[in-house]
Amino acid sequence: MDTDGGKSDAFTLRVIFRGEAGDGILNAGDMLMRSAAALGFSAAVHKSFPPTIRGGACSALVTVSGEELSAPVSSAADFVFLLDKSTLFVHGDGGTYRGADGCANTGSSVNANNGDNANGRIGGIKSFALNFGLCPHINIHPQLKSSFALGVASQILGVPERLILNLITEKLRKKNLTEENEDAFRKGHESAAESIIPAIGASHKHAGRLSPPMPMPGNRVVLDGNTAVALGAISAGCRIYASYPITPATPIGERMAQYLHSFGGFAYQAEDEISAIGVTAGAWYSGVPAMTATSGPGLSLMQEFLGYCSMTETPAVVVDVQRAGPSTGMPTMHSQDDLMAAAFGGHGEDQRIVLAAASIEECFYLTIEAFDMAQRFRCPVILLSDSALGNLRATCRRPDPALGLDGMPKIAAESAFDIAGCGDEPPQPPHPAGPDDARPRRITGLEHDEHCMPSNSAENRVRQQYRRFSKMDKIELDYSHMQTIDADGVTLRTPRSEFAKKFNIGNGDEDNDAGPPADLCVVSWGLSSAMTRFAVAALRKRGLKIACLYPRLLFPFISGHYLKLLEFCPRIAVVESNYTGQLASMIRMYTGINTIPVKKYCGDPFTPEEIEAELYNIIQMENFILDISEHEAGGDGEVPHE
Amino acid sequence: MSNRPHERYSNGRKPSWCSGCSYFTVLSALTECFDERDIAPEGVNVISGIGCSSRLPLFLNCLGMHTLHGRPLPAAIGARLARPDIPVVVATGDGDLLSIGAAHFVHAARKNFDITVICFDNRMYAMTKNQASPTSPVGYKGSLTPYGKLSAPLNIAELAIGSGASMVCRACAYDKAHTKKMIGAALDHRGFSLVEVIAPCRTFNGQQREILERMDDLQDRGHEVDNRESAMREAARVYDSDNNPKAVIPIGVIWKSGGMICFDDQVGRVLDENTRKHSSVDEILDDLKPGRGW
Ligand SMILES: Cc1ncc(C[n+]2csc(CCOP(=O)(O)OP(=O)(O)O)c2C)c(N)n1
Ligand code: SF4
Repeated sequence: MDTDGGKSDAFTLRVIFRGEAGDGILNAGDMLMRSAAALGFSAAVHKSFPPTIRGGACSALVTVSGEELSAPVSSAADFVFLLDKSTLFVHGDGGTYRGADGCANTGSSVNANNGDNANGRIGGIKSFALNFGLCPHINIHPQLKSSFALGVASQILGVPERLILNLITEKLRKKNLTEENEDAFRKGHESAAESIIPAIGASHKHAGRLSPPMPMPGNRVVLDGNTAVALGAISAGCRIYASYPITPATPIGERMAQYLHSFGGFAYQAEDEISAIGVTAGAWYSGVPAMTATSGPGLSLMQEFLGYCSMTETPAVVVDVQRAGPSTGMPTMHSQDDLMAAAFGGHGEDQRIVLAAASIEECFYLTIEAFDMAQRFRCPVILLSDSALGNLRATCRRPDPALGLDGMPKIAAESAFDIAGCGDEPPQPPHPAGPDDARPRRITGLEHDEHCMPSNSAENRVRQQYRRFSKMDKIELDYSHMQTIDADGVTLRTPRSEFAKKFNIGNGDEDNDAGPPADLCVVSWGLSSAMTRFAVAALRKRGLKIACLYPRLLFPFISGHYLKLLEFCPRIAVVESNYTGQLASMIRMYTGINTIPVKKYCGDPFTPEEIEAELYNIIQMENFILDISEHEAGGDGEVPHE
Repeated sequence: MSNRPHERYSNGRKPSWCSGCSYFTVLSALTECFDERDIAPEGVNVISGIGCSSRLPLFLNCLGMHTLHGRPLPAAIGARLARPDIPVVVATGDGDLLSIGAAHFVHAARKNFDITVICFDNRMYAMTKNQASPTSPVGYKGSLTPYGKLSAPLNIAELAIGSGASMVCRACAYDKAHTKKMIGAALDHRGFSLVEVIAPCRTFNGQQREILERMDDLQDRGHEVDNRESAMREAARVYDSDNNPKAVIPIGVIWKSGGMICFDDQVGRVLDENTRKHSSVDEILDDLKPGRGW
C-alpha cells in the first residue's frame, strides 16, 4: 500500500522486535523510533505486551517514513528481530502478520534463534539465515539481546551509533546497566557490518535508509496517546486529577503527577475507582475542573457516580483507556468493547457524552472538547481510548491548545448556563455560589426541583427529565464537526441534499448529482478508524468508490449522519474491535439500518491490510449478489431494497 | 453569632426526620457550632451519603452534596483538594460509613484529610426499615436477620484510631451539650476527626434515654487523649459486644494526636516545591521535540 520508490521521501520501513517481556523489547523499539525521529523522519512505535513483568510475548513495531507517517499498525514488516524461541512458537502461525502479501519478497529477518528457523518463513515473512549462529565469536547474555539487535538494526539502517548510545545511557543509568548494554549494542553494530550487510546486500532497499537525516520540521513533537490526554487535560484547565492504578491507563496519571503540580493542580491517588470519580465530582462541584482516567474494570465501578453527575448536573471527565474485557480480561490488549458500557452502563436513564479518539492528536484535542462539553452540558463526558492507542508513540504535529479539533475554532464555553437552563427553565447547580447568590447551594442525586429540594411529584419529575434530556439536543446542532465524512470522489445516488452540500459531497451539479452509487459505505471509530482510513485510501487506488463516516462523538447517537450515508450506497460496513459489533448495534437500534460487521477481537488492533482485504471481499460478495438479483429481476438494474 | 442559629443555616424546609428522632439534637448542635465560630452558610460544605442521617445537608442552606450511599468521603476529599479554604463536614450513618463506605473511611482517616466526620450511630439501618448494621449488637433482629445478627459489632473508635484518624470522639445525642462540645472540638481540630454520636432510632428501637446513665466521660477521669496506648484501651472498651445492658460507655475525646500532619498541608508543600517547573503546556511540548531524549 505504500509507494516505495527507493530512497525517496515516500518510503515505509517497518522493523519488529519480538521476544519475551523482560527482554527489553519495548525499550529497543522506543530507542529505534526516537532515533529515527531525531533524524527528522516520521516515526512510530506500536507496542504489544503481556500483563506480566517478565515472560509472555512482547513486541514493538517501529514504522519509519518520510514526510507523512505511514500506518503505525501493519501486517507487513521489513525486518523482524525474534529474540526468543517461545515467541517464535507462539507466533509461528503468522500472528499479526497474517495476510502480509508483500513481505515474502521484500522482507528479511534477523533471527536470533540459533538457526532453528534459518531460511524458513515466519508468518509469510521470509526469514534469512541471519542469526547469532553467523556471529559465532559473539557470546551475548540473554538479557542483552535487544541491545545487540538494536546494534544490528542501527548498522543496517545507518543510524549514527551516538544517537542510540545516548538513549541507552539515559534510560539505563539508574539501573546501572549502561555499560553492558552499550557493549552489546556495539557488538551488534560491528557484527552486522561483518556478516549481515554482506548477506542481505548493501543494495537492499533499506540499507542505510536513515542516513542522511531529513530536515527537521519545526512543528513536530514525539507523543504517545496517554501523554496527549494528560497535556490536553492541563490545557483545558484540569487542576485535579484522581485515579487508581490500572493498565493501560496508569501512564496518564504518571504524566499528570509529573506536570500538574507546576500548574497549581494536584494528582491524587485514590483507594479505588469509586473514590477517584467521587473526588472528581467533589472537585467539579467546588468549581475546579477535574478528570479521572481508568480502564474497563474501573469504568464498571464508576457507573453509579456517573449517574450521580448526570442527576446533579455536575460535570465530570472520565477517560477510559479500553482493554479487552469482560472482567480482568486481557489487561494489556487492545479492544473497543466498552462503548456500550460508556453509553448505557448506569442504571436509570442518564445524560452522558461519549467521545472516541482515533489518533494521538485526537487524544489531545478530544480531551479539551471533553472538558468544554462537560461544562456546557453539565454531565459526564467519557473519552474512549484504548491500550494500543494509549501506548502508541509517534511523531506528530505539535498540538495547539488554542485550537479545537481539526484546527476548528473552539465552541465558546460562556453559553454553558443557557444550555443547562434549557429554554425557560433556570440552570441548576452545582456552582460555588457566593453569599449573594440566590441559587440553591446543595446538590442531591434524588430527583429534585429547581430549589434542589427532593421531589417525588409527577409534574416535577416530567419537567426535570424533559429539561435534562432536552439540553442534550443542542449537541446535534453544535457538534457536527465531531463526525468526519470522507466521501472523496464518490457520487450520490440521489439528488444532492442539503447534507451533501454542507459536506461538499458530489460532483458539483447543484441540483442533480445522481450517479452510480458508491461501492460501499464504511463506518469506523477509535483506532480502527485510523487504520480504516489507510485501507480506504488503498481501495480507492484500486478504483473503488467508498464513502466513510468516522464518528468521534458516539453518544448521544446522532442518527442523521448515519442515515445520510444511505445517499451514497445502501451497504454500510462497520469496522470495530469487538465481538458483538457495538457501534453496529447502536446504528441498528437508532436508525434501523442493518450494517455489515467487520470485527476483530483477538486483542491486537486491526491492520490496514486486514481491513482492506475484508472490505474488498464485502464489495466483491455484494456485487456478486447484486448481479444474481439483477439477473433474476430481469436486469433492470434496481438496487435491491434493503 | 446570631440569636437564632437554626434559622441562619436553615433553608426553610422542615427536616423530614420522624418526630422525636435523636438526629434533631445533632443537627442543632452542629448549626450552633457553626454559628459560634461565625462560619457563613456558604463558607462550609456539608457532605453526606444516603440514609436518614445523610439527609442532613438537605435541611441546610450551606454548600452541600448529598452523594451516594457510602461515598461522601471521596466527594469530601475532592472538595478539600479543590477548595482548601472551605471546611468540610461529613454527615453519615453507621451503615453508610462502615459498611458500604468502609474502605473510604479507612483511607480518609489514614491519609488524615482535614475533614470532620459525624457518624450518626443508630446501630442499624433505619432508612431501609430496620436491618442489622456493622455496629448492631450480636443477636440484633433486623428484617434480613430475623434469626438475630450472628457477628460482633464493629468498634468505630478502635477502627478510626487504628486507621490513622488524628482525632476520635464519642458522644450521645441524648446529651446535647456534650455532643455540641465534641462536634465543636472536632471542627477546631486540623486533621481527620471522627465524632461517633450514639443516636438511637426512635421509630424502630424506641427512646433509650436510660443509656445516658451508662456514659462515662473520659474527660472527668483525666484520660490522656494524646497517649495512643490509653486511647486504644478506652476505645477497646466495647460497650455491649457481650450484650451487657449495664456496660459502661466511654464518651468524650478518646484520641487526639499531637503531631500528625494532615494531607491537606502536605498538598500545599508539594505544590510549593513544584510550582514553575513548567510554566506552560507549550514549554512541556518543547521538551517533547524529537531528539530531546526520553
Ligand atoms: C448502592 C446502594 N445500596 C443500597 C441502598 C439502600 N440504602 C439506602 S439508605 C441505606 C442504609 C442507611 O443506613 P445508615 O447509613 O446506617 O443510615 P440511617 O438511615 O440508619 O441513618 C441503604 C442500605 C442505596 N441507596 N444504594
Ligand atoms: S427512622 Fe429512625 S433514624 Fe430515621 S428519621 Fe426516623 S427515627 Fe430517625
